[in-house]
Amino acid sequence: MPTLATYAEVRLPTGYESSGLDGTLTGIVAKDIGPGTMYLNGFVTTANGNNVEDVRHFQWGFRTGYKWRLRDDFALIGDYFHQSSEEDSHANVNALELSSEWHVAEHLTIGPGILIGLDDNEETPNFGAGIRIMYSF
Amino acid sequence: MESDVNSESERIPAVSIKDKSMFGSESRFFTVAAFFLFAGVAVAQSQYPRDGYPAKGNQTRAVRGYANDAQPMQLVQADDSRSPSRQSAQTTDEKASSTSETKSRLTEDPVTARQSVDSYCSLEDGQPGDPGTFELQLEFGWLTTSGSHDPALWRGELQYNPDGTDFLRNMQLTLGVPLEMGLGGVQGNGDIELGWQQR
Repeated sequence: MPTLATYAEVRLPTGYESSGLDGTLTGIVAKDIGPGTMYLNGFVTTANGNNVEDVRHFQWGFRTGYKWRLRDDFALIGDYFHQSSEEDSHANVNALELSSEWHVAEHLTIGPGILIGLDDNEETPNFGAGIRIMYSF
Repeated sequence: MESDVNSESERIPAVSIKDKSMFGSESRFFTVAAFFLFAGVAVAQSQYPRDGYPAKGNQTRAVRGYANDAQPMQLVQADDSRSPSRQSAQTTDEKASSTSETKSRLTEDPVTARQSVDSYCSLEDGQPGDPGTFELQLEFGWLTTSGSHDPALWRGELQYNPDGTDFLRNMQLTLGVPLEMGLGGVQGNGDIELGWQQR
């Protein structure tokens, strides 16, 4: 039996010259396969306000990925996503993400990752890199 | 006199525009409402016994929960699944059935330990954290795109995992603030994002 979940998110316009409300609803499916877990996300967004010029009011996309648990405290994660652009006149975005997850301590997790664009469309990044730090208490 | 009248008439539209924008009282209302929502859920859930999961350190959740529990004893005993003896048995069974993977992460249930994703990627894992805890998540990133500014991104997110009923233990509430760094004024910088995940 796979894990089923939903995630609803609302953006409030509290920031600099911000306006409008955005809402995103994501459906999540996760299933253990082999030494890891397979994920599938699908989402729809209603975008409002004028934070983005010529904003696409209805956006959508999906992601699919796999977490490969190499050790008790270390895993590799790879995923692909395809989503509509934020602006009406732009093409869809295709990208690949590769990241790792390291449980440094019981309450601390560090996860560096990179992003590789798979097309030359206006909103697709060529490359990206970053890190996520998570502390529970 | 004419100059006074003109300056007064110029000021009136400026005030009305400010009142119409979402940057004024409405956004402050949303912010305050969000704060009280999180605080209310946190206070309400602190009254529940924390059952079913091992606790941090050497102390079990059941022992810690009942030691601090403010509920009448009759109510606690009426529910067999929450009795201390049943709790001890459940905790023992969970420990016995847990894999070696979860031994290093005793505060999470086995499914969450296997399926949670805490790395720099856009995947949503659908897993809440340990019930009754908070998680602070910080993200730093950089993107390069042809023909446009390369943004440096920062995102701070506070996650709360309620405790209590099964429904609440499978819930996660988030409060996030994404920022784009390196530019003086980015429209939308400082927006608040509220999330509700339900497994």
